[in-house]
Amino acid sequence: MFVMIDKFTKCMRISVLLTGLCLALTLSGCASTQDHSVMGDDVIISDPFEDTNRAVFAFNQAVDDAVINPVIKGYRFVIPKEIRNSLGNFLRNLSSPVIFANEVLQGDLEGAGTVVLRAFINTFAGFGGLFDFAGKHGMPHEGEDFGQTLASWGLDHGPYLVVPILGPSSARDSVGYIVDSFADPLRWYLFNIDQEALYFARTGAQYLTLRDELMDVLEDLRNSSIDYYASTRSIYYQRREALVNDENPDDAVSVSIPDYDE
Amino acid sequence: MVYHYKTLLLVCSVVGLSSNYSYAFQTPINVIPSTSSLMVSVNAERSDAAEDFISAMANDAISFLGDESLSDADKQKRFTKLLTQSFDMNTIGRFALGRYWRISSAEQRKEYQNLFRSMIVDVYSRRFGEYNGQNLEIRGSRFDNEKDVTVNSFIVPQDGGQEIQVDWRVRKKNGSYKVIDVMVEGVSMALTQRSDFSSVIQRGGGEVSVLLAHLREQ
Repeated sequence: MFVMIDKFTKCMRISVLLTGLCLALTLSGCASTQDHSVMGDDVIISDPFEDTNRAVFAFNQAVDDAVINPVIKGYRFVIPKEIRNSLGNFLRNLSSPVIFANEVLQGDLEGAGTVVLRAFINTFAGFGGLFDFAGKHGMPHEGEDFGQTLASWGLDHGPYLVVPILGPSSARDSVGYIVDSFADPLRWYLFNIDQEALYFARTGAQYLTLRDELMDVLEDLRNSSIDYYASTRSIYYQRREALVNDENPDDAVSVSIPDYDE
Repeated sequence: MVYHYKTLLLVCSVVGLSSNYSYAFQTPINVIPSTSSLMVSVNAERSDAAEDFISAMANDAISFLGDESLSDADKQKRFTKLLTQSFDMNTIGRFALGRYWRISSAEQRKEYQNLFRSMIVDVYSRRFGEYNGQNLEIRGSRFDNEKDVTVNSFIVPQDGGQEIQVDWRVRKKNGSYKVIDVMVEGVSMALTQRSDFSSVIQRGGGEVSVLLAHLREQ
């Protein structure tokens, strides 16, 4: 029992520390009077730490080239696509409690119901979540996270942040990521039964599948853009907006493209 | 510690074993109608003409990209032709230059539009060059305004991976449709290009010539 409490307080201390750090970043972003955020008619995302972000971005690119992409290529070579898909489905199914909580916090009870139904169907008919059986039958996976929940409560991104190894984020979404990780019941469970290694294995596998899914997209983007950093930042912002507005696609950022001939 | 690896191995072997079952589950997929098609039928304002335009374009591309009797050079030629016919390059290019269009000279504009067109052709032929039998399913459309329609489609991979949502924004001009933007999973290609270009110009001291130099290199 004492071990549990000790662990709990330790986790809390770390999370408070991290949240504090992120809040400090957010606040310093607000306090900064320099305006790097508005790019003419492209209101994208405020980037007051652009120089630092670009440095971290370059570091991440070096890590991608030296380690991550070779690892993904090896992974693809060794593991057939069907199994990689199944691993992705399995991990998505494991995230159901967190997704469910966020649907509820966003007031989307229908979405919350879908999550429960999806988890039920995929766990039983999809062999413990290895197959996205529900997704094939009109109940596609929706990745809700606490960053989106904060957005649905009206919170803005705050400054854009490039996190080492993890990549593009914002103050809001970083806080969301930390809250999701610490609120995850699976994490509590695995830590309580002294199976931390399994938790970290899961986190590692999540990262692996994410990078596997993203590798071609990122390579394409890198080849097709001049300023890869700027393109990534724009895509991050647009993609997050699309996810936040997934319930009402009509509210999503749909840029108006003028008719120049008129 | 050994125990953890054993558990992991167990999980992996379960994953490996069960992949054999995936085929058993593939038969009923097409039988049950997807809710997305139901959702679309509620939306009364579909544009059949715009959907047909995208479908014809995709079918044309797929037919010659998959034609093994054609050389790569032939494919490239036909692809360029299809793209320049179906995409409103002037509109996309001008949008991508954003506010810098106004401060650029007539020669700069002309050179920019030419470079932009070849860049788009390069980017999309590279993307379509990787085409290997995925289906493009058109699942609906909606009017954005009286001229513009967004056609919703999905790239459905044959190997059971995640579907990719692709929305085509098309504009009717002089009686025919042209693509003015492609949105992949909610990300606008035109807006991304504009962010890219405006950052290049900004970091180059606000000079459009800096962008042109980069485009010439590409």
